[in-house]
Amino acid sequence: MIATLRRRHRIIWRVLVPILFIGAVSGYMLAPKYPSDQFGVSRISYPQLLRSVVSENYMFDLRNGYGGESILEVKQISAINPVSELVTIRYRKASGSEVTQELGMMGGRKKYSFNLKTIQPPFSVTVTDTIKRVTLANIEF
Amino acid sequence: MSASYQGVLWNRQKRIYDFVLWSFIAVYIALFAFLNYRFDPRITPETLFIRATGTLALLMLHVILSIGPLARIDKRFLILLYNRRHLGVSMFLVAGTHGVFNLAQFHSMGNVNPFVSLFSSNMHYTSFINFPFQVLGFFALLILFMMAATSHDFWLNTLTPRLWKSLHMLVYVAYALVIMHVVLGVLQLEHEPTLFGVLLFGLTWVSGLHLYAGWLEGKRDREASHTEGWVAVGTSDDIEDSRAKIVFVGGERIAVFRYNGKLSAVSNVCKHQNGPLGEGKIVDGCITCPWHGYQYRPEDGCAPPPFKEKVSTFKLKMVNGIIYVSPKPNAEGQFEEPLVIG
Repeated sequence: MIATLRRRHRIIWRVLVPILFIGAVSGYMLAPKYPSDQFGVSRISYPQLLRSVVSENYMFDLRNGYGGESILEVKQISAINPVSELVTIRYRKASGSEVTQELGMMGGRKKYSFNLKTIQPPFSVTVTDTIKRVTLANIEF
Repeated sequence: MSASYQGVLWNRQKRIYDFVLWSFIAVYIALFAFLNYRFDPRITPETLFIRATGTLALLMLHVILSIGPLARIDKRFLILLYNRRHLGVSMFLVAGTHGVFNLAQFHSMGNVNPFVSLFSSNMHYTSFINFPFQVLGFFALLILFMMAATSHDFWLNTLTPRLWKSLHMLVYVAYALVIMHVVLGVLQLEHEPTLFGVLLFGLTWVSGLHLYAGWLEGKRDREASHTEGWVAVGTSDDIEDSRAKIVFVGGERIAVFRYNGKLSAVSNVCKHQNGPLGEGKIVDGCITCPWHGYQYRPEDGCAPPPFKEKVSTFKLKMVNGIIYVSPKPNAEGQFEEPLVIG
């Protein structure tokens, strides 16, 4: 290498290294922590269907679990093909305060179940594409 | 860069290299698929292929970026430079496959052009953490495409080595874009410490190598920048037969070769890709660049016919058994009488 190129290499790396390390570490530290404990493909449906809502891209079934808990089943029904979807619920507590809770992640055209425990309608459910950062569905129960 | 061009100058060594490389690529993808299906059977084939090609391209990019500084730190790694372009083009093909599958998977099923969707589906351009990471990957791929497309010697000659080398140094920009593509992409979705640890290790490895190699070269350049007049090279016994000793003069380097009882000095910079001639050896009477085998006659710095490259020669003298080289270069290709070892 000629002297100019050697010098250019040195300058580039002295600039790049701090930028990349700061970018990588802060990107990792600031990353949102999506819930993963409720992530799961459901192969069976609970027998007692309480209510069903269909949006343009998804079908939402609210069912009763065997222990009396509320189960939300979400299934993608359209040709859109997101592979990373975040399901969020918004409901009002008995005290009157409004709560937004991330239920879990979906990953494609399968049926997913989320245990809502004691949460009962009315509530709204939102599905967001975490890659494109767009809302795919927003429905009311 | 010389008398004529061929698509690829195939030889047995290159064929073996490419066979081993593409076998590795096939084995990596197969192994990745096997392990993923075993531990996460829910994964779709498209997602699996995107992940396999993405991680493989990232691994290959780290290897490619390690070769240059490794060769500057230790001559034994010079052999890896010979086929680096094949590795680079292969890496682009793997990264390109990753890009095409991504475009098909995430942006081709809507009612807008996939490229429009790529740039407009996530408009958080002012946010750091929500930044559209796929756009970063797209621009990295664009740079890699430009490099792969101009990797042939035809472009090296057309663009001139200096411009070509500057263009190919954009690989560092591509590397930065790729790192941020991973950090703002998969690491946002899967907050895996192992994944982050591996990425951080790769980043530390590559930047550590480049910083160390740069420091070494800088040290040599600083030590040499004070020299004036004739520069002492050492005795003829310091130079192995058919090899050279490199001296640093005014920021540039001169290679003093010993061959057939004679000594000749030429510029250390190969006309092809600025490779270090002094780290090569004399083969069939010609100085042979260790990077891609370009050859020059030691007496006049000219490539043997029909090739036309020329490098500068330098005057040599010997006083009391010590060899001295003039820091002033002769014109490129100018004959300089070799110094006969007494």
